[in-house]
Amino acid sequence: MEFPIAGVTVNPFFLAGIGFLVGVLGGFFGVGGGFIASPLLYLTGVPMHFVVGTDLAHMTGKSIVAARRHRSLGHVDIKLGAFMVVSTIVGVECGAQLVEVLKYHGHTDEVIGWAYVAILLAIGIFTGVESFKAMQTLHTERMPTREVVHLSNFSKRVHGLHLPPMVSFPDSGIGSISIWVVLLVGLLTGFLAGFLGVGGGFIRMPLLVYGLGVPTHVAIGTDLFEIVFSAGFGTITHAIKGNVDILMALVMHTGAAIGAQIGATSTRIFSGPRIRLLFSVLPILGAILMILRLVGAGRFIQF
Amino acid sequence: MKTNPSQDPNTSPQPARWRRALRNFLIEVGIYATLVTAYFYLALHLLATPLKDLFQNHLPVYAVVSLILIVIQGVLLEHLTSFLLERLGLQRLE
Repeated sequence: MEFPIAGVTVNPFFLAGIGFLVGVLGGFFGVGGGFIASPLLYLTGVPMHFVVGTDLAHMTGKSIVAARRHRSLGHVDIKLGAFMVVSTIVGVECGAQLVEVLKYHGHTDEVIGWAYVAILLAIGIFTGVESFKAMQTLHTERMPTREVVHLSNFSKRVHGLHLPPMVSFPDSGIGSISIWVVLLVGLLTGFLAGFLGVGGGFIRMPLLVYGLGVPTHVAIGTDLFEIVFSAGFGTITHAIKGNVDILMALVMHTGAAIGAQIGATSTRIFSGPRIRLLFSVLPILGAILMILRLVGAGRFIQF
Repeated sequence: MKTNPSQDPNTSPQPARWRRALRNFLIEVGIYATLVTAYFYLALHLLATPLKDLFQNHLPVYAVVSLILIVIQGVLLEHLTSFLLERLGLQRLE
């Protein structure tokens, strides 16, 4: 099928297949899935600037489906998501400005690339080790719950910080927390997303769980709720620059919609630690793809 | 192992429940794939020319229309896929 806006001919079923794959991952883990969709789109011959914008557009639609499904399962904290959207957008802009500074000094790709690898490996290894220990705790103590966080003392200390104004997030089980902490988490995830050029899902989800003490299932749903707005904002800005083939995004989204439903619904079958253990593979995979690109072993892999 | 067709689905053996869920899921995907294929060849062919025209001549309008289209499709497909999944399949795997 010809896509006249990007000027390429691509099999629509292949596009829907890519959408399905990232839809399942997105619905299950609360990530955008750009680190998988982008290289696959690029392989089909879509120009790189269209890859980025089109991926964001399809991510918007996919996140609507997944967030609504998580909402129906009681997994979205809209109040928390709304607070974080504001600071995330500010953080994205700060991260993008740092990239501009690095561009001025040169070596941008290397600095960003290795920072990306270090951050993703840290997240992946930390989440993997923590969730493994949490699963052992669940198993040995035969706890009648689906959610255990091995390092819950950290989030308890965060809750204990008294920097007014304090807010509560009943849907996340947070009785009282400083609004500044919530805004800081949004700012940090936005900053890393803007600096590294990623959607930020696989940074935000662990920070919500370990930093704010949000249950894993709610962290996933709230993350997707936020992606609707951040990806929607990205769609508009990229489309104005001529980087979005909306026909391609609509086709990808047909696969992503059913994938997101399956992914979101499947979270009910798994406990929080098990989801986090599976999740830990994603940032490590993203880091490996980036290392291959940095050392020149995977010239076709673009982000 | 054969199961009694009139048996309550919630008390039937686990493998039978999984088989039933898998069958239902494949039916859902089949229905969905048929609808989506029709959508590829009808709606997208109709949209291609006007969207290309907007892209070439009115980029800000194209940006707004793009966002509206993906949001509308997101909401519609959420309803469609929810309808399919609530009738059959994965919803029963608890």
